[in-house]
Amino acid sequence: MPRLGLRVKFFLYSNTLIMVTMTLVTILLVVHEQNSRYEAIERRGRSICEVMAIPITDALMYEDLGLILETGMIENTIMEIQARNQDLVRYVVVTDTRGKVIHSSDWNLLGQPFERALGEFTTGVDPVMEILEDVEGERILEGRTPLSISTKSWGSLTVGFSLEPIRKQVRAIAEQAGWVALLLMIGNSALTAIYVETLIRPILGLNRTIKRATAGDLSVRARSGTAAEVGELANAFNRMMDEIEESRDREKVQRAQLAHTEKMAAVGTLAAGVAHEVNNPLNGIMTCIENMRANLDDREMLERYFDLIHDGLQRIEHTVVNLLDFSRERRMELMPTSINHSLRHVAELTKYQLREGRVDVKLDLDPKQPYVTADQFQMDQLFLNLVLNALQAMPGGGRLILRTIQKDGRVLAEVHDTGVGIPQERRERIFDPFFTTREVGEGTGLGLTVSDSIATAHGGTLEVESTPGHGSVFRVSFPILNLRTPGEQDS
Amino acid sequence: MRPRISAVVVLVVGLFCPGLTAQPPLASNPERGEPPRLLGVASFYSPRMMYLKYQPLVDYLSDHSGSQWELRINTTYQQTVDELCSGRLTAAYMGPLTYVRAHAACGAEPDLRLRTAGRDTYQSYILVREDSSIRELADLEGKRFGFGSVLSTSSHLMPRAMLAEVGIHVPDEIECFYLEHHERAARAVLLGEVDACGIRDIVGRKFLDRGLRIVARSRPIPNFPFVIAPDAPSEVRDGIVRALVELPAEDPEIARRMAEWDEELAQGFVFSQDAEYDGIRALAEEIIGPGALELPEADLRCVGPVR
Repeated sequence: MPRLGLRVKFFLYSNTLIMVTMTLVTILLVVHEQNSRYEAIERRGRSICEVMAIPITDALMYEDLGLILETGMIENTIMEIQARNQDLVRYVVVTDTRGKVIHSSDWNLLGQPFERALGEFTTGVDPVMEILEDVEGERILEGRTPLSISTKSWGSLTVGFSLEPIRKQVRAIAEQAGWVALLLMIGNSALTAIYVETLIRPILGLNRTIKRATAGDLSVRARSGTAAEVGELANAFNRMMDEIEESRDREKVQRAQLAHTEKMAAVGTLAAGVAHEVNNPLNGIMTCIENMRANLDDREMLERYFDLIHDGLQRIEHTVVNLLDFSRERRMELMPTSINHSLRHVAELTKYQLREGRVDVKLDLDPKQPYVTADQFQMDQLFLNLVLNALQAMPGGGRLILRTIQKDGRVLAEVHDTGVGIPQERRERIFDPFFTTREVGEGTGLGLTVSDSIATAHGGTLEVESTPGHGSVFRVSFPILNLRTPGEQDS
Repeated sequence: MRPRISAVVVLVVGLFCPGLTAQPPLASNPERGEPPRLLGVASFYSPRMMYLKYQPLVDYLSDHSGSQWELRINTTYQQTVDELCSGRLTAAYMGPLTYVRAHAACGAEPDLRLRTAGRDTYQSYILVREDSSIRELADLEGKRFGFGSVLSTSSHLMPRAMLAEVGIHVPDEIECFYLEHHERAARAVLLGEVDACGIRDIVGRKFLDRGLRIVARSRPIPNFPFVIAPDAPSEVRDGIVRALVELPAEDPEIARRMAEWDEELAQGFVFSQDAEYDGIRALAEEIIGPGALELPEADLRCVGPVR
């Protein structure tokens, strides 16, 4: 399910709130109106029953006493009550004490038994009010009152009051409330649209800024000076970004210092090899010079010895330049860089140490020449640290494999050793600064830390797999750069 | 409900415990389909008011006298006499003058007499408007006078007797109006239709703070008798006497029911006898004239038709 934007959420929330509120208000209003109107009709009906009962009782009583001959008084009363309450009174039925209809607004009922009439002994009580759900398709409030004086009864009066007006009135109220709710929702939508633009725009702007910052652009800053809370948020964000940038700068410096420190340590490690590489040509040169001094007249031999001395000096220069290149402090320069080249370079640099350590080296490099965007010298340092680390892990000699492969759009560079391996409990800490298993003075404890830092700085990862007693694999993964140099294939 | 329950209880007890049935057999039993006995009362007030004030008494009698009773509102005093003597009514509650005419007609006897506020007599008042110039009875000469019914003791006989004592005689020295009910006579004074009226004390007192003023009071009149038809079964007579004379007024339930009765009934009844009404009998013949106890009601009027 797609995530809803702030605008839609705000719109849905406020309209839902209005709808729920208006629904509740409407229900309460309708129930209240219905009850109050029902009570009003009940009061009116009760009053009509009581008022009608008096003249009808008197007429029946006077007729019973022989004082009058009832010649339409009761009919007149019924007609008048109906005429004056046309909206309300549906029917009037007067029954004698046996429940027989003796007067009625419906003449067809005359002489018929009326089941709902009050019994003969129901006297002197207030009108009984009862709701009948379906009387000829209509909801009726029926009032029944005895036609009695004291305990003397002449029958009962039944009056039906229509509840249809209440139903119509309540429905009208509900419809009106519904229209009001609809208008409120429309108005709210319009206001929300305006309000959201003024309120949410800064939030959305801040959101975009945060996304850019998350993507790595630490130079972005949010616009301040907007709504109070959002403005404060923007200012806080900007302060945080300032601190992150400063921290990043400090970290860069520290990482560079660390890397340089580690590089110098590596140079120290390489010094023996360098000395060896320099010493061999030097011995040759010394021998040549000795032979030249003894054979100054042999021009042909002198020329050959000059050539040999020249070659020896070139080898020394090459070795020294290599070391100087490696040890020099540089600014990071990202460019298409061959991982294969770095691994070969590192193998060359550590040739002496590997040989001395009786480590057999195998280069298993991907012939497709994978390139990554990286600083070549930092790549050299990364792999040098891993190779020196592997060398350290194989004190009695072993086998070192440097391998590159491509997988899922990434370049994997692996450094396999057949060393002592890393126990599980130490594996999680090996990238921590100054964590080392070597004796004091044998290492800085920064090698793997720097390698991990270089990998991360280039968008890569550094992982380790290890089986204690069998060796370890350090695997560096970089996003591959789609750069093909025609004709450049590794041999 | 109560009469049915008591009837059933009596019936059951009578069937299985003959020795315990000290009660006389029921005089009227609706379980046996017998009609209730009629208690006649002349319409002192409007019919609605009569039902309101006397139906509770009838209900009480039905519950406590051993007979079922129904209230019979007589539209005229004479109708009470006629129906009592014809046997339609088993009992009647009537004014003294009506009673002496019933006694003369069929030998009816006063079994009980009303005791009002501790006394078994009452009075007749002659009332005028508060702003009237009439200060004493003599001032009524030539005035319009409102009576109740012709056969009313307090609203006809006694006022005429009081007027006669000051030398005012009908119809020459006063203009007569018969207004049937006591309250109607009092209202006629308030409305200015008549200048004065004569009505019984208990009604008159209600109008003293409503614009009427007493000009004269009659001497004590023996109160209303409760007459039981001469041919009524003895158990009926005994039942009524037991219910009304031995009225347990201290019983809260009985007290609650008595509060619904006409207030003049609320003090109960005492035994009476015919001789106590000799004075009324004599006064009627003296004031209304010979034949006051026998002649038709219409012949006893002082003037023409009632207005």
